This record gives sequence, structure tokens and C-alpha cells, in this order.
Amino acid sequence: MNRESIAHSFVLKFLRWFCPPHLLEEIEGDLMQRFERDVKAFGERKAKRRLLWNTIRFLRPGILLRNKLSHQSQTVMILNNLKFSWRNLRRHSLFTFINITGLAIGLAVCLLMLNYAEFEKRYDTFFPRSKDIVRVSYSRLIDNELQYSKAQVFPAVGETLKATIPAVENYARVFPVTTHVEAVMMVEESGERKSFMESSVYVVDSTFLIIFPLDFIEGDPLTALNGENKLILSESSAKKYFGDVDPINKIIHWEGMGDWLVTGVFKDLPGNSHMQFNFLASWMNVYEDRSAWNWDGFYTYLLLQPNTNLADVEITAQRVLTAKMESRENANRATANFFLQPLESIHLHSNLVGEMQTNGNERIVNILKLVAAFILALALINYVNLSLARAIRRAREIGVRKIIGSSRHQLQALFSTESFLLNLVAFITAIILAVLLLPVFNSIAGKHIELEILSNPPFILAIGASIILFSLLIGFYPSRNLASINPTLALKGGKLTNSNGQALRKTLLTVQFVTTILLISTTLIIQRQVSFMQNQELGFDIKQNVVIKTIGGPGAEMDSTFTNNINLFKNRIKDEAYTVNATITSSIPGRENEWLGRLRKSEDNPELISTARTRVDKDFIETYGLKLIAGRNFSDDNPKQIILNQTAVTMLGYKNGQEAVGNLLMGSSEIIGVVDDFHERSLHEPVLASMYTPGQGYMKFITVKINSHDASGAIESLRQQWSTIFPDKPFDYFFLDEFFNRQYQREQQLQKAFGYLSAIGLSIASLGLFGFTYFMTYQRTKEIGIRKTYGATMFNIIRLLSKEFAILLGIAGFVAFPIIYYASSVWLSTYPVRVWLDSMDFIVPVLLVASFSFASILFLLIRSAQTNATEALKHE
Amino acid sequence: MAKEYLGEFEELVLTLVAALKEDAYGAAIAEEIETRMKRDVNLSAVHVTLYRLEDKGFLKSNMGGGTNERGGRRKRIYTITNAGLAMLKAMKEARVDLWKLVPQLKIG
Repeated sequence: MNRESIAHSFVLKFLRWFCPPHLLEEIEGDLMQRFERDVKAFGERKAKRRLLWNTIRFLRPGILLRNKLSHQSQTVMILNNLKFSWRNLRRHSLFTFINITGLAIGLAVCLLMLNYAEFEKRYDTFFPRSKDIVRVSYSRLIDNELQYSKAQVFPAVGETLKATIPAVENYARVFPVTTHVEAVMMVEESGERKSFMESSVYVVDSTFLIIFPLDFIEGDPLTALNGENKLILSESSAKKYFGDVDPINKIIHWEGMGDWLVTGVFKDLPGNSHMQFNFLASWMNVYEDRSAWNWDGFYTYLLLQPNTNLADVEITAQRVLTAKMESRENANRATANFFLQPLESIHLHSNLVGEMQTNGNERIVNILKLVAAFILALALINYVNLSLARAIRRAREIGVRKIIGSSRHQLQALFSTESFLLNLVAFITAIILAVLLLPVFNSIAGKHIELEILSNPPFILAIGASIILFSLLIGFYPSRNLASINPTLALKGGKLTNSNGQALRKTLLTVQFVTTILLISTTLIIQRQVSFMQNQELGFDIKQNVVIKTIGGPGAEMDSTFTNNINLFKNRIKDEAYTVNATITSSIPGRENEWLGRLRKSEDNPELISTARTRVDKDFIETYGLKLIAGRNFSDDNPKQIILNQTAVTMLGYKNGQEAVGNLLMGSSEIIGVVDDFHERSLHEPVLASMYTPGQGYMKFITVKINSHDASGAIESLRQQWSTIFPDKPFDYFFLDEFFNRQYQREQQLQKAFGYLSAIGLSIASLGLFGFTYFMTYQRTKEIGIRKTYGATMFNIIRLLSKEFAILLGIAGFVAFPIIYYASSVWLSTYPVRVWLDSMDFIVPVLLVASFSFASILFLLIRSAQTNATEALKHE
Repeated sequence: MAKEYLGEFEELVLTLVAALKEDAYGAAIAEEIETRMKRDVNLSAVHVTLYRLEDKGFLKSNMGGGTNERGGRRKRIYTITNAGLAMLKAMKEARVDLWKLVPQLKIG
């Protein structure tokens, strides 16, 4: 191999590619000299390899970044660029203002959304072994038809799995005691009594603290829940009950459950856990014995060995548990399908019966992220569009710079510096904005989210990277465009057409219009659906109903003194002037009914239907304003009477209510009446088959229908009556309509979020349009002047200037139409009761965007149309 | 003025530039280090060090004449400046002063 072929080898081509030209010759020479020496010393093959290696080693900052200019003059250049950028940004303050405002708002929205998404995604990950924890849930099928999927299973499940599957390290059961009985906790401290009603008390196995190590402030997590009647409580609850006194070894009296010893205090759980509790009580055996395989009311968590294959464990668990359940389930023609849910997936992916709290929804999180990206895109489009529009005004500056000897490279560096500076300011503003807006965001989301990502190193890196990326990305096209201006033309002041920018500009503007129309239209549709659901005829009278919780303490649910007292209370308040009627029931509309029963179609037909079952009294139908369509109301407390709803009648196979009345169900219970269907649950679900039976006990609510005159007076009187009969029991009430509408909370939040986001999007887009029109009318001043001298009226001019927007907006409307149509159809089809798309859903957003755009540019249009023609002609 | 400081490798390269006189350029210096010091050295490291020393004002350079070797590529010949020489001297003296403080042990 001779020297020339080395000189042309790819290695040296590679060197030429990266090496600064002024260093190339000497380096190339040295490399070749070294190569010749190596050939002599090692032979050609090895020498070639060494040549490649030696060349690669020149890929280092000391070589790559070494400019012909010394370091000093480079710094001068950067400083100079910064100075000019700063001056430019200040001189074109409108441009700067629009861009920074838009970008900062867009980025702040993105920040908050990302923070929210991250928060939602990281539910329960703070538990040290969260990846190894699963929850056992199951689906119940009757005749292979799904009855329900439930997050709670039978108390014997955990023990069985641990005993048979080696991969199961441990299990813990969690019993949500407060959904069944009321927990009134009382402490007596130096003669002073404090009592509170607690709504989130869980009874747990002592192993719970092994699987979920809580952050203990006091007490020993290893032993805190060993043995009976031990209680641990959260830091805030400890404050509430004991103030500054040390709560350890203090006694808390639990109404009906005796005295409990406080053995630990843990730090309040972070907001991003699917379980939220203030009290944990040690396991009570009483629940175990009677319900091992009968009562599916227990959350069961398994701790698996690290790196266990979940699918394998699930298959084994299914086999083991099905075998255990077989004898019981076969009698009911039922099957139980158990499955395991990874802890971290529960919040976003699980939506079963009996969840601890309403879980999140991954789709909504993704939609919000997408919308945030849209808003950011609106802001970025503003930047590109305005830079292009402004180019004309800067043409002369660029011309002078080029004549003096700026290279295209240097001009691009200048514009990129400008864009970098702008981005930097926008990002800083965005972070400040995000911090300021966080409380607003939290109030919409109904959560307590901190701006955690700001203290997250990868995220800070990502912010830095996006500043640079955005500077390059949105700086690239405009700066290339600006740098390519022909200096002679620019200095002559001739008309500069940026024809290649035109198409891009129009496309971007249309994209902006489409995005805004989509946002507004979505908001409208969500709003219509929500109000439609809320104002839907529910089939019962929901207004003016005060509900008082009468959940008894433990053991009181069937206690006759307690039930008598409730009846006494009811009879007393029925005599009050403000009461229209009152009824005692075991459940109320808008609540998940824990009693789901099965009915055989008839004695000779073994087919089963599943129904919800509610215990009521004889005032139920009247108080709720239900329509009795066949038969009669209850006349006494005889529990062998049934009233069905229309759906149940149909499902049981009767032609109508009349035919159903008089038949026997469940052996010897008689159907005495049929009520018309009404919505006991939100309109997310169809009406279920339901049956109502009279009875004493397990009565959890009194619904009092009051006449409208003085609600607060009525409630005050109710409270007084309550305290004479139940002196130790807190008076806990709510309005039924508020309670019922809470089921639409998710939609309401979505509606609010979209409302805000569309408003933000609309303002960013309008702002951009304003800036753009500003530059455009400026540029066309002379043209307008000429038109005016030829007799154009103001109206002509305005029409001329706004024609382009009108056309683009029209196009945008047509593009948005199918997207809205498709997306909303998909969304709405998840509701059994839904609104149908209306032409207004398309027309209103377009009109709204049109009027906003027009309003934002009207002032500019009028100003430029009114300019004195002679002044205008002097322009340029 | 902040006190200038030279790293070990920088000092080595600077000394060799002074020693090699008219023949001080990248590849030659690298070769010299390899043969005299029995130390593996990368060509690029020598180049970067030379540039750095030039920035600091201890060296100056100009392109040598073209030769037939090296595919006709010219060499960049480095010469040491007065500042560079003073620096080398100062460093050597400082080292000698320090060496005197070390108790001299007899070996053997």
C-alpha cells in the first residue's frame, strides 16, 4: 500500500470530515508518518488498524472545537450574539411578548400535565417491594355469564395460596370495616372527651406491615399489630385525638368494639396510593370463622418472591382456589375466576366492584397529555410563524450583516442565540407559572400533587435538553430562511417574497385553527353529555332529600334497641312541619349496593338472574316518588313480601307487572308489587334488576323529604331530635342530589380541564394571529395605500386582509369535522345514556374561533385601513 | 495574575519542544516520548497538548516547508517562547528546592 492510497482511504476521509480545516494538514501528515513507521514495526495489517485507532482518538473536544479564532475571540462572538439578540428581542417587544407568553403558558400546562401523569403513573411505587406485590381479585360467573368482578375475595384465599404456592412469600388481608359498621372513636384525656366518626379504618393482618412497610414515627412495626385490640394511627389523626401528648400506649374507645391500645404512629400516606387510611386495627378473628369461603369482602395482597413469573403463579392460584370453591359454587351454577393484579397497576388499570377508592383512568391521563402537547404545539407554531413574518422587517439588517462579511453560519448562530434566549426566558417563566398555578390545578383535579418532577434529576436534564432542542427546532427553519436572504435585494429595498415560507405558514395556521376548534368542540360535547346525564329524568324525586347516616356501631345492625331508636327518630320527625315524608333503607341511590342476590326464574325453571336487593320500609315508594305500576305497597314489616322493578320483571320472563304480582320467589316470598324503573346508579350504567323487601336491621340511611322553605332550619331541628335519641352518635347528613351527582365527578373534572385548556389554547392562538396580522399589515402598508388612492373603501380593505384567514378557517373546519365526529363517537359510545352529535358541536367552535380571531385582528385591520394613503405610500 | 500551572504531560511536551528545536512537531515529539521515556502515548494527546501550550503562550508555531515525506503534508513546527522557557526553569528550580528537603537515604 502506497502513500497515495492511504491518503484516499476512508480513514482519512473520516478525519477530513470532522477535523477543522486549519489543523488538517499537520494532523494528516503526522498520522501518515506514524503509519509508515508502524508498517515497518508491525506490518501493514496491524499498522492499518493502528491508523484507524489513532484517527478515532482525534475525535476529541480539543480538536473538534478548536477554531481558527482563538478562544477569546470566540467568546467575544458569543457575547456579541447575546447582546444583539437581547437588543433585538427588546426592540421587537410585541414579537417577544407574544412568543414568551405563549411558550411559557404552553410549557407550564405541559409541566403540570406531565407532573400529573407522572403522579398517576407512580401510584404505590413508594412501597419498597411494590413490584412484588399483587392483589387477588375475582370474577363471578353464573352460567358463564359475568355477574361482577370484585376487588375483594374470601378470607381463606390468602392462607391457602401461601400454603400451596412457594413463590408466595407472604399475604395480608385488609377488611374495610367502615363500609359495614360505623366507627366512632373516643378518647378521654384528663376528663376531656373527644369523639370522632372515622370513615377509613381497616382491619388488617399483622403481616400487612411486612408487605407494606409504613413510615413509623413511633412504635415498632414488627410487633405493632400482633395480638388483639391493637391500633395504629396516622400522624394527623394522632394530632387530632391526642394533640401534643404521646399517643403510644393510650387507649382509644371504639364504640361497640371495646378498648384499643395505640401501639404505633405512622406518617400519613402519600396521596399517590390506592389505599388511604388513618387507622389500622389488628385482625379480628370473628370475621374469619364464619366466612372463610363465603364472604367476598376482604382485600388480599400477596408478597411474591422477587422476579416471580406472575402468569405462572396466577395459573396455579386459579387451580388451587377453583378446587376449594367447587362444591359451593357448583350448587349455584357459578364459577369463580381468580386473577392477580400487580399493585402498581391498580390505580390506572383496575376498575372493579368494591375498589378502596375511585381509581384513575389511563385513557384520561393520556388524553390530557395529548391536549397539553397540542397547546405547546400552538405556542411553537406562533414562534415559527412570527419569525417568518418578521423576516421581511429584518431583511435590511441581514443584508448589512452579509455585506460586512457574515457567513450564513454566523447568521444562523445569531438567530439560534436569539431563539435560545427566548426559550430560556420562556422556560423559566413556565416553571414559575407552574408553581403558581399548581393550587388551581389541584383544586380541579381534586388531588394534592406537589411539583415533584422539578426535583427529579432526569427531568431537569430533560428540561435543559428541550430548551436546546426547541431553540434548534423552532429556530432552524426561520433562521435558515432569514440567513438565505439575498443581500443586494434586501438593501435595494425591493419586494422580498418569501414564497417557500408561504405554504408552511398557511399550513401551520390551519393546524392552529384545527387544534383550537377540536379543543372547543370537545369541551362543548363533554359539557352537553354531563348536563344531559345530570338532568336526565331519573325516575325518582331526587330534590329536597336529606339523608342521615344511621349505620350502627359493630353488632348494632340487628340490635332491636338500635332499630327501635331509628324508628322512633323517624316517627318523631315525620310529625314535624318541614317533613314531607321519611323512609329507612339499607341503601340509597348513587351508592354501590353491597347486596347482590340471585333469583330463580320460577320453581320449574332453574335459570338465575342477579338482582340488587335493598331493604326498605313502607314509606319508601312515597318518599322517593316512585311509580307503582302493578300490585300494592307494603302494608307491614312481613319480610316475605317483594316489590320488583320493571327490569327484574322483564328478566324473570313475565309479560308485565300484572302477571308477576302474586307469584312466589325464593321459596315462599310473594311478589306483591312492581315499580317502574328508576336510576339507582349513575347513567354510566343501565338500570339493573332490583328487588325491595321490608325488614328490620341493616338499615343504614334515613331519607327525609323536606319541603323547600327552610332547609337549614330543618337540618338544625333534625340534629336536635337526633341528639335526644342518640346522644353519643354524631349527626352525619348529606343531600341526596349532591351525593348522587358525585358519580359524575370524573366527567365534571374532565369538563373543567377541557374548559381551561381550550381557553388557554384559544388565547395562545389568538395572540399568535394578532402578532402575525400585525406584521402582515405592516408589510402591506404600501399596497393598501395604493388601493386606497384608487378608491378602495375601508370595508374593501378589511375584506382583503381577512379573506385569507376566512379561507384557512374554513379549511380547518372541514379538517376538524371528521376528527371530532370520530373521537366523540368513540367516547360517547361508552355511555348507555348519551347525547347525539349536533351540528352545533361543529358550528359553534368554528364561529367562536372566527369571532375570537377576528376580534383580535380587527383593531389592526381598521388601523391599517384608516391610514392616510399618502403616509402609506411613503412607507419603505 | 493567577499563577500559571503546568501538568506533568504538558511539562514533558514543553521540554521536548525545547530539546528538539527545529524538529519539534507532533509526530516527532510523540516518537521521542515513546523511545526515550518508554511510555505509550497517543498522537492526539500530543497535538491537543501542543495547542493548549500555544494558547497559554508558552509555544509559538509556524508551518514548515513541504517535503516528500508524509505524502507532501507540511509539519507545524513549534518553538518555545521566553515565557515557556522561564516557566520550565521556574518549575525545575522549585522541584530542586523541594528535593533538597527530602532526607537523603543511603541505599545499600
